[in-house]
Amino acid sequence: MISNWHKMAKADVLRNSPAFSRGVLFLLLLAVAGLVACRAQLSLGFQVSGLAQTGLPGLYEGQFMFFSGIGAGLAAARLYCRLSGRSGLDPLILWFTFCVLLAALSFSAINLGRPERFFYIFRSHNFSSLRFWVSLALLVYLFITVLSLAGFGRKYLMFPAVFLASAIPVLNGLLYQGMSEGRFHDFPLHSALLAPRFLASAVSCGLALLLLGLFLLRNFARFDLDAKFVKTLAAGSACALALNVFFYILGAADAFYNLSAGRARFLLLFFGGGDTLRFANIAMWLSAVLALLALLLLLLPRTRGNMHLLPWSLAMIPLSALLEQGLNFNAWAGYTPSLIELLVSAGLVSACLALFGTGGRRILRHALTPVKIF
Amino acid sequence: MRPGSRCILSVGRFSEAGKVANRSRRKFLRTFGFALAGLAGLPVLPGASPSALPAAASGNAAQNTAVPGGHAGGLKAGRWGMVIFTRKIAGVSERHKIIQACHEAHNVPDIPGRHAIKWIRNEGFARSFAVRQAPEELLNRRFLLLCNHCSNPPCVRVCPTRAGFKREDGLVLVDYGLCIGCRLCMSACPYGALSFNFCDPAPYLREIVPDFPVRERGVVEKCNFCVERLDAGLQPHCVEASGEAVIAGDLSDPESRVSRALKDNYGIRRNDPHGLEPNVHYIL
Ligand code: SF4
Ligand code: SF4
Repeated sequence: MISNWHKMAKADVLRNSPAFSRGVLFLLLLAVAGLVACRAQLSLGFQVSGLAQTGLPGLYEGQFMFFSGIGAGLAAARLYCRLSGRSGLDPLILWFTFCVLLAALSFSAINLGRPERFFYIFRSHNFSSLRFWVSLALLVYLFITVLSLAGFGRKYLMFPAVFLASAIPVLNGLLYQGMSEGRFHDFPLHSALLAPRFLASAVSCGLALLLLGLFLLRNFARFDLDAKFVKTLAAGSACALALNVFFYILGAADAFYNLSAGRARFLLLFFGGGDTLRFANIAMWLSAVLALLALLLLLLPRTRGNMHLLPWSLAMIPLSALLEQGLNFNAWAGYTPSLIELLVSAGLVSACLALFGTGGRRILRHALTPVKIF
Repeated sequence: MRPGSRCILSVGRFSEAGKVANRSRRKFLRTFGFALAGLAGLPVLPGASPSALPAAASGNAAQNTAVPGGHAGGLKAGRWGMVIFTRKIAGVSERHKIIQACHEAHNVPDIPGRHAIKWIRNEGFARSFAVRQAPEELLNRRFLLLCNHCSNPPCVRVCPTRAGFKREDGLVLVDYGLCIGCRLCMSACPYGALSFNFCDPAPYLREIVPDFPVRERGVVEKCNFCVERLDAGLQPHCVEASGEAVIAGDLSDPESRVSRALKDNYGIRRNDPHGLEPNVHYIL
C-alpha cells in the first residue's frame, strides 16, 4: 500500500471530483511555494528567519511539538476504534498518523542549522539529551506505523505504538523542563505540569483531528459515519481538553501564588508586556477563549449532539493548541516568524494534507467498503 | 461558498448503525491506562537509566562524559578558570583591545545586528550580575562576559550529538563538525555565551587566520578558552592582551595564581541559582 501511494494519489487526483482536485492542486501549489522557500533557507541559512541570537525555539519548533502531539493523540483514537470493533478504520488512522509524523519529523529537521546532519542525533547520541529520546521515539513510532500500514503485525504493534505515542508528548514537555537552567527556567508554567498537560493536549487534538479528517473525507468519499461513534470520540476529546484546561489553570494559580520573576511572565502573556508581547496577548486570549468555548460546546450533550455545530467545536481544539503551543511559545520573546518561515511551514503542512487527502480517500474508496467500516 | 456547495467541515450523512458498547469504552480506557502506567515505570525517560538518573538530576551528566584533553607540551590544569580584575579594564579601549585580540585570532566574524557573533562581549553591572542596586561607579562599569566553562554545564547535557563536550581539565568546547545547529545549548545556557551562525561567516571576516577553522553556516560557537594556545603551552589571547587584568590558571590548585588572587580579593561570579559552578571570577 505504501509503495503505491504516489500512484494512488495520482489516480485519485485525475479521477476525482473537481472540488477535490482543485483542493489538492491548491495544496500542491502551496507545497511548491514552501519548497522554494525551503531551498532559500537551505542556501542562505537561518538569516532568512525571524530568529535572533536568543536561541529560543521558533515557529518550526512549535510546529514540531504540535504535529508530534497530534501523531501521539491519534494512537488513542486508533486504540479506541480497535477496541470498539471498528478496526476497519485502522488503515485510515495509520495513514493520518504517518502523514502527521512525517510533518513533525520534517519540522524537526528543517529547524536545524544543518539539517543534513539530522541522523548525527543517533550516530553520535547523547543519552542525557531529551532531543535524542524524542527523536528516537518519533522515528520508532513512524517505523511501527509504516509496518502496520503495510499489514505487518498490526494487532501486536498497537501496544508499542500506544506506549511510544504516550511517551512523545511527555518527552516534549520534559524537553522544556530539561532546559530549566537556561531561559526556560522562567518558563511561564510550572514545569512539572508541562508533561501531563502536553499529553492531555495531544489526546484531545488527536481525537478532534481524526473526526475532522473523517468529516473532510466524508465530502469526497462515499461512507457513512456512525453518530454514536462520533459523539463518543467527541466526548473523549472533551475530557482530555478538560484535563488540559485543568492543568493550565493550575499553572496560572501557581503563577499568581508564586509571583517570582519567571512565573510572573505567565501573567504578562495575558495582561501586558508592551509591543513585543502584543501578538502573544492576542494569541493567548484567543486560545483560552477557543479552548473554553470548545469545552462548553462539547460537554453539553445538546451541543455535542448537534452535528452541524460539532465540526466547529472540534476545530477550536487544535486551533487553540496551535495558537498557544505552535505559535505563542515564540511570540512572547518578541520573535516574529519571517515570510520564509511561514511559507516553509504552510508548504509542509499543505504537502502532508494533500498526501493525507489523496491517500486517505483512496483507502476509504478501495481498501474498505462502507460495510467494513461500521 | 457557492450555492449548493458544502462547507468542507460539514458532517454529511449519519447512520445509527454503529453498535458502540459501553464495554468498548471501558476496554479502551483500561488499555490506555495500562500504557500510561507502563510509561511511568519504564526507563525510557531521559536520564532514567540507573547511572544516568542521579547524574542528570544533579546536573553532573556532563562530568560523566568528560573527555581527556591536553597535549604533552601544553599547559595543564585540574580545572581551568579565569579571574578578571575589572577595575584594571574599566576603560573602553582596554576592553576593546581584549575583544579584538580574541575575535581576530579565532576568525569571529563582524556581523552587525541581531545575528552578531560574540565570544567576549561588554555588559553593564546589572545585566552581568542580575543585581540592580549597587554603588553608582559599579553600575556604570562595564564587564567582560564570556563562556564560564561551568563545572556542571547544561549546554553539554542537552546537546543531542555530543558536539558540546567537557574535557577532563574543565574546558567546555564545541565540535563544529558534529554540531547540527539545534540551538538547544543556547537555550540551556543562562549566560548567553553561545552564538549561532545564521549565515556563512566568511564574507564578514576582514582577515582569515589560517591556523584556526572558519566555521560553517548553521553551527554554534563560543569562547574556547584558547584551548589551541593552552595545548601549545601559551596563555589565552585575552590574558596576553589585557596586561595583568585577566589571569587564567588552575582553580583546583590552591597555590595557583588564580586561586591566590581569589584568596586575596573579593571575587564574585555571575548569578548561579542552578548550581552550574561558573569558573570565571570577577574582582570588583
Ligand atoms: S557559560 Fe554557558 S556555554 Fe559556557 S559552559 Fe556554562 S552553560 Fe555552557
Ligand atoms: S547547537 Fe550544536 S552544540 Fe548546541 S546542542 Fe545543538 S548540536 Fe549541540
